[in-house]
Amino acid sequence: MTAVLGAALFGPAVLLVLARLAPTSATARRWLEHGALVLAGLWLVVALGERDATIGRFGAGSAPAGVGTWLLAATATWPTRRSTAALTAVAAAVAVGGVALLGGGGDATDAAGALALAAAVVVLAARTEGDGGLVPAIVCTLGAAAVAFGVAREHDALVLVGAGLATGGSGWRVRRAGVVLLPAAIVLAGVPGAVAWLPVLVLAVVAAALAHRPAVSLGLWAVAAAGVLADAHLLGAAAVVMAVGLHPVLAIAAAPGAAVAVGAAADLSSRWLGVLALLAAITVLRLWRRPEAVVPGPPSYPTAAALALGAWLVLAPETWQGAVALESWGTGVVIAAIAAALGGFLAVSYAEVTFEVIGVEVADPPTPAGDPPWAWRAALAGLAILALSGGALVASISS
Amino acid sequence: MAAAAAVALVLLSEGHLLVLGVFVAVIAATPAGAATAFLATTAVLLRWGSPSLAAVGGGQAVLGPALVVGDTVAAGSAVLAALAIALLAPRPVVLALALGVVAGAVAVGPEIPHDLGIRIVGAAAGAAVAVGARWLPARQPAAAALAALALVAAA
Repeated sequence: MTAVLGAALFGPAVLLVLARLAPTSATARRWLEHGALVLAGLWLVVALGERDATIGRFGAGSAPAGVGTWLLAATATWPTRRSTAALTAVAAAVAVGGVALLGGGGDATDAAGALALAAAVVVLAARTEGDGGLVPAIVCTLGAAAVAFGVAREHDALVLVGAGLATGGSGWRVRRAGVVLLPAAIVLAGVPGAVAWLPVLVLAVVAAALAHRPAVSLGLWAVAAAGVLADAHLLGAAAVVMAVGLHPVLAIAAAPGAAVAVGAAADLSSRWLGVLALLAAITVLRLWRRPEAVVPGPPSYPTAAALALGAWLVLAPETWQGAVALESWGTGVVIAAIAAALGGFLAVSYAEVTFEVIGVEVADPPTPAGDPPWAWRAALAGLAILALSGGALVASISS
Repeated sequence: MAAAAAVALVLLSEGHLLVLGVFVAVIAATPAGAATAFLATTAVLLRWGSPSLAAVGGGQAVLGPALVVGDTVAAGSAVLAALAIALLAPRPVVLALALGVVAGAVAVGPEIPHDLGIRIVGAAAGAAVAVGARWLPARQPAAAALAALALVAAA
């Protein structure tokens, strides 16, 4: 398993060589997409294997975040330019390296530093993309800076808010380089120890308001839940599945995560739980919609992978690490499957029922045709703030 | 198929409440229905302190039907959640009957075979309400409001 972990960690270097050697930029993009899928597969093997495998200080403890990051990297297929593809791979590799340190012999300081570096790379990638990505990249940068400063000063609420900003900014850039920060930002949200209701409520309100951007909304719910439960990886996984596939039906993958959150939150007996439940219901209300631009034909490889992961998440969430509170979920799914099969058979036998296979591939969401004129200067200011926070992080390690 | 799944879950009192909620949402097939299903099942979860349908059915088998157990607010929460689910009934009568059985289990649903007579009465009452509610105007927003009230009462 150590060899697989090593290949998953250092394989991205091969991707950079491939991006340089490919005969055309379109070929480089395609090779990088396939390479990212291979890396996602390697991380899946690590996640299913020995979770205590290590290489140096890198560990397999956060392997699911590696799966999600590389799946998201595989979806970023525009623009057809070598530099953007390479920057996407670098940002993904750095972010995954950070969470691998967190899941091994490192700590939140390592992961926060890696997120900050990856956010800086994403700013450069957004500038090369030139389609309105700089503002979300600035949000990611400020979020990474807040996480770094919060980790340095052991300020839980700041870490949570920073993770929320980074999650929001990356979730906004689905099918672009910036989205690769999503898993790392959600993982870092799980670091705080104490319940901080105010940032949790703010995150929940924003998540409900931005439900028209399902990846952002589910990601923010994962961060908010992490602020209360310390472990909300099922909701985070649903956010990644949604960000990869984009089809509204994939939002069902959030149901097990919501079940864990509701079940665990019920033990907290806080008056804010009712407010959170109402905000969650508003989110459900707004997530239920028709897909905007379904592309006919078979799904792409990343979408197929997202469908498979989403199905696994919905059908057997109790098999995911740390989801032992969902045993009754698996029982319910088995009973429901048998009953649904019988019901379907009867419906087909005695009524004129037709089944239709829905298209699941969704086109990229529309993006603006450029960045605002002030965005690059603001991005530079954001990078300066990030550098200062990084300095505080390094100083906290030194002291 | 969703109707068969939902009925099987409540009759066997097995599975997770939010799995049931997902099937209720699929039967209702509207955004308001999905939100109502989430709120109502969450209210039941908070009311019984467990996400398992076995715990909900077992609790009612031991303590009595949800609509008579606990103080007025807690009992009212069960009734409101059941009404909310019944009001989601769509026009096809089979689907309405299925939601009625689910609603009956929420308010009067001791685990089978305990208190079988009470369970049958609960399912019949739920089915009657659901079938009758199909013709009510603006029933889904009303269902959402009732489910929200149920949640507030259960919290």
